[in-house]
Amino acid sequence: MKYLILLAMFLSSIVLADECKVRSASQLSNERAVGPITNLVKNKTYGKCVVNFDITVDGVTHHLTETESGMEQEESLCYYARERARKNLLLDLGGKFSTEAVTICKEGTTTIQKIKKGDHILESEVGKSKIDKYFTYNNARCRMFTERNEFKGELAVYHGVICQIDNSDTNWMVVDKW
Amino acid sequence: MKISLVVLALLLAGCNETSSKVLTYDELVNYPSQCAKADAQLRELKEIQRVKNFDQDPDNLNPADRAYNSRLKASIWWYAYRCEK
Repeated sequence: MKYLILLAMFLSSIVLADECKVRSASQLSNERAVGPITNLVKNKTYGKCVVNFDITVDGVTHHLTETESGMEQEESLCYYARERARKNLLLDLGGKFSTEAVTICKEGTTTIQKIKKGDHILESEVGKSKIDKYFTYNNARCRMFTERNEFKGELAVYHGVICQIDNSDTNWMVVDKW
Repeated sequence: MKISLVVLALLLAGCNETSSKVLTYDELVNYPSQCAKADAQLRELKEIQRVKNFDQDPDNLNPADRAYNSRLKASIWWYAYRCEK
């Protein structure tokens, strides 16, 4: 009888200790033929850039206009404007949603943790940055990210860089965050 | 003689230090980033990063330091995504 009680206690401790949660995220994956940007006109003024250009998606040409303002160099603002216009167009056109998920089990209570430098995450756990191009850093495929989180009761914006680990689709590492 | 040696040691120590200027926030905003000058500019920016020695967790920084650190890091990463060969 004693052994049965001990065995039951042991098994219940395993179940309670290994709390698992599923982390999943969905993202829109566009499978469209997107042509290059043509007829690009940049109108730069201090702290602002307005871009006008044409872009062909699936054989249909769209004329886009976008404005970006901020403290950065005008050329960067033009780049952001161009990227946002293109991204918004593709969002409007729609596509397929793909979802990726991993199950994480760890001891103790599960609380939502802020992502920090060195963390291993899913790519889709962090939002897109205005700079949504992938680039190579230390031979790894990387991208910038932007996330919004609560800090001292207010909404704070964070930026950072994640890089893919060993060509895995799901494993990315936070290499910097600010 | 001893004093001369001390003075000489101090002078040599001074020569070894990099004379990188710590930019103000506004100077950082208007930093003339150029891929052609990537190596030198990255060296300068990383030296500022070393001198400032900000906490890695942005939540531990005051608003001014947070803004400066954000701008500095954004400037450093600019070369990674804009100057790919």
